[in-house]
Amino acid sequence: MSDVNIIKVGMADLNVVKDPHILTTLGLGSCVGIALYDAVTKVGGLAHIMLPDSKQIKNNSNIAKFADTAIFKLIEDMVGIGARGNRLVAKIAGGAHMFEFKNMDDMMRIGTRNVAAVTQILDELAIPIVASDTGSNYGRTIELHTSTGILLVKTIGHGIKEI
Amino acid sequence: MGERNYQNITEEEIDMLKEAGNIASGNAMTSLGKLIGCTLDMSVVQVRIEKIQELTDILGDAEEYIAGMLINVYGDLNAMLLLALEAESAIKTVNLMLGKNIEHVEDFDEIDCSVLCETGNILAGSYLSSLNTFTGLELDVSIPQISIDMAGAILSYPAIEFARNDNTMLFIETEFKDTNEVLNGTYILILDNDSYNKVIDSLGKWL
Repeated sequence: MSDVNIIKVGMADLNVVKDPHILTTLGLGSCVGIALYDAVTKVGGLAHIMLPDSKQIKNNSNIAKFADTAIFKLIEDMVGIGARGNRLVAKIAGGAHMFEFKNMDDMMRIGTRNVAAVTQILDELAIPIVASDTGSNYGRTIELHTSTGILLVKTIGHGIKEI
Repeated sequence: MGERNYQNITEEEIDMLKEAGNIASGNAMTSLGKLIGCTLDMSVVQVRIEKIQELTDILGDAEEYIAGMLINVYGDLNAMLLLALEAESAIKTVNLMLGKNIEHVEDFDEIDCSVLCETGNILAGSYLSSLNTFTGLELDVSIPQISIDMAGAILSYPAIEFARNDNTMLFIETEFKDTNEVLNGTYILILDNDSYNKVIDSLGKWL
């Protein structure tokens, strides 16, 4: 397994790979990392979205930035390398609120809204969310291991877990 | 009044923003130096326009452990000021100011965090009053907020706010360290496109 590549997904970015490669995104804050996986073909996809809804913006030129557009593109790219749409399962992480500015109720927080949007879209597409680690006030680094489908969530001061 | 887009920023405008950043940071660093009793060296001020995909890495590594003190700037500008200290530097700042011997960031209590916030506040005060002097722009600030975590996670907050409509973020950056190279930090002013126009317009009258 010496030829395992670790592919970095930046903010407002997405990528897809096959077993044995690993997809990672570093330092998720209010953004949400969406990991999709097909356990049969071992195709994995990871998107790092920043905002819930592309329809609030005119001239959207970056589909990986928004939950609504990124998820469709991620599925399309995964199918393109052999995944089957009806076998996909999702794991999500992030959506924290990093700063506690006043006069902001919880529903207005961008992290909360990102998680809600992602959950709703996956639900509409009948893609089950089999695990999630969202909210709270700390950052997360995630790794999707396509050999197993495990999503590793690393933090500073809040432990490491496999979900 | 200008209707420029910072994507097409000119060399002359970059020099104007650098000069403004230089004077404002100089004042802020003098205040910080007095506060903690160190002499601070400041790097050359940089005007940067970075793609969102690369924003988590602008303070070095996305996973680097930092203390970020963030202030919203209102009034004539829509901007944010971020004081980012490496974890070790945040500890040193608290120890210097409170005469403590803290070894780990995890041991910070509420007072330690509020001292760091106050540091951010004092820096913002000097930086913005200096900016006000030569732009005439009226500026208000929010109460500073602190987050001690991965640099990428902290940067996601301004990124979401300022790269909402664009796929880039404009900021004026100053790196600094004390003469013993124990304290390391970065000070960043992030501007949206309207604010960039206003700063350039008001500097144009002055320079």
